[in-house]
Amino acid sequence: MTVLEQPTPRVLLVEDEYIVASALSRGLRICGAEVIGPAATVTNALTLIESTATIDGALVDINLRGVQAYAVVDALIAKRVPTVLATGYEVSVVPNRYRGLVVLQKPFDPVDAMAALGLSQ
Amino acid sequence: MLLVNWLADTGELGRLFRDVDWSATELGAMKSWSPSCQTAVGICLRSPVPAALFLGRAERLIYNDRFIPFLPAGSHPAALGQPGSSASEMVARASFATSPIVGPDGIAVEGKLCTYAGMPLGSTMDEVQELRAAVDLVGLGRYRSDPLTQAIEWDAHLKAMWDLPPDAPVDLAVFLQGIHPDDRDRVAAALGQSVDPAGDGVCDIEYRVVGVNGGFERWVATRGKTVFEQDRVVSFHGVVLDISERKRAEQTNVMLIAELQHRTRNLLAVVDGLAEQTIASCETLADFAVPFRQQLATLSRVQGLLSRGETSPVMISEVVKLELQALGAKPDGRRVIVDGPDVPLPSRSVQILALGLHELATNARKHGALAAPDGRLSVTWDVDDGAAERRLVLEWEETGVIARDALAAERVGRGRALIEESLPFQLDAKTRLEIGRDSVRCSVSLALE
Repeated sequence: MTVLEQPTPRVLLVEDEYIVASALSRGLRICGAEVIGPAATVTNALTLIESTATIDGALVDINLRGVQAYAVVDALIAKRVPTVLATGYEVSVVPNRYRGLVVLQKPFDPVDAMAALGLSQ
Repeated sequence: MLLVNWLADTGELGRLFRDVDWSATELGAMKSWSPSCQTAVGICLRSPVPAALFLGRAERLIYNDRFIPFLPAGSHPAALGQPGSSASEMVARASFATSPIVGPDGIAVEGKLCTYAGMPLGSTMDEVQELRAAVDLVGLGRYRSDPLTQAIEWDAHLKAMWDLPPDAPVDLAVFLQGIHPDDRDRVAAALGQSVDPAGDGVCDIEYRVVGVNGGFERWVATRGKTVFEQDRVVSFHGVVLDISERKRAEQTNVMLIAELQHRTRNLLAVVDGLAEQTIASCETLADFAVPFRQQLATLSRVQGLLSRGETSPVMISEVVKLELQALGAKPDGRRVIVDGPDVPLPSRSVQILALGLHELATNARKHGALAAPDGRLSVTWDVDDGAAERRLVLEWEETGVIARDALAAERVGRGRALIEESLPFQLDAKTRLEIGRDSVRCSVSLALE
């Protein structure tokens, strides 16, 4: 029986803080992911979602340069992309309709993000 | 036999008393009065509490200054020396202690002395007045209800809180209608509890009032007290205070704390990221400590600048000078030149800009202008009011750098990512970094919002 090589999961990263975004990108790659982005704004994230054929998971900071990123979350949900939220605020700030999503409080380990996305290898 | 000045220190009524022509009354001239009567007059006028003296068959009234509020409105000073029927009624209703004035024969009653006994010495009407002033000062609304008749009485101030005119009738339905729908059940429950004889009868609750027309939202605190007699409610009364200002301040505090928590967690995430990045560029643990600590020191300086709040924005000159001085490079106008207009930075740009400048300064210290005897560093900036938006254009220029070897160039290259990628990513800035054999040039252009 041949073991099929698992394809590299493609993870969209939406985070506006460069230092955090670059460390998370590195961390996600170490976890075996291919990182799409990172996107620092809602517009950039929406463009990436639009133009990327396959996204296996997304990690979204819900506050981008002072703007709430729920438009991004909605676009991901519409494409049935498993999505994990990240925030520096209390988890309770997340509106009820997104309560089904995992919310990670900063700082967190990229390993936990991959696990929450169901992409642990 | 009268002492000289026996009416000294007897107040306004003492003076008025002297001027009354007592000889025109059945009491006769004052000098003819019995010693017991004269003594009683002195006691009455000097009494520290409200006091009234009723003399003779006609019960002619003599009273002291403190008794004035007990007289029917407008009857002072005309009431002095007049038959005191209305004052007598007042005394009978309120808490007065009455002592007969007995004549020299020990039998004949010449009058009665009534002194107020209802409240502690020195309070009485003063205290009532003070309470009234306090109620007005704080802006308390007052209410009272009679459980037997179901009648509810509100003062005009309380009615105004419910958006009602002063003469509007009030009942339970009006009371509940003015309360925020989400708070009605809670208020009704608290009221129900306070009329339970098993409890303490106190209703202490804060809730929102929207008014009978629903035109606004204000927070009120109320404290009511039910009086029971043999487990039956006999009265319910209390006061209402508008606490909207305090609630707003509390809400602001909650928001500020949430924001602080957000910033703290983000800062920890940045520290985590910096550690990660520095680890990736270090071969040994010893290599890690110095750059990591220096980056933490930069973050700490930035926090100091940002903690001043929105009202005093951080200036670009402050960030440049702090990061240079942290590495011992003091602007001296010769080797180290710092020059540019006062430009306030958008607050979200301060931290990442400081980290970028720190990176440039560290490289200059190790391998660049600050390490070379003839090196020269110039940091200048200006505002470009060009087409779409105001931009800050900053030029970092190192000259006289010792011709670098390949290894040094590679080390400098490690900091490049931060400078060349972070500002475009986070601030949509444009950066250009040129590292020559004996020079370093970096230009940054970022929007000032």
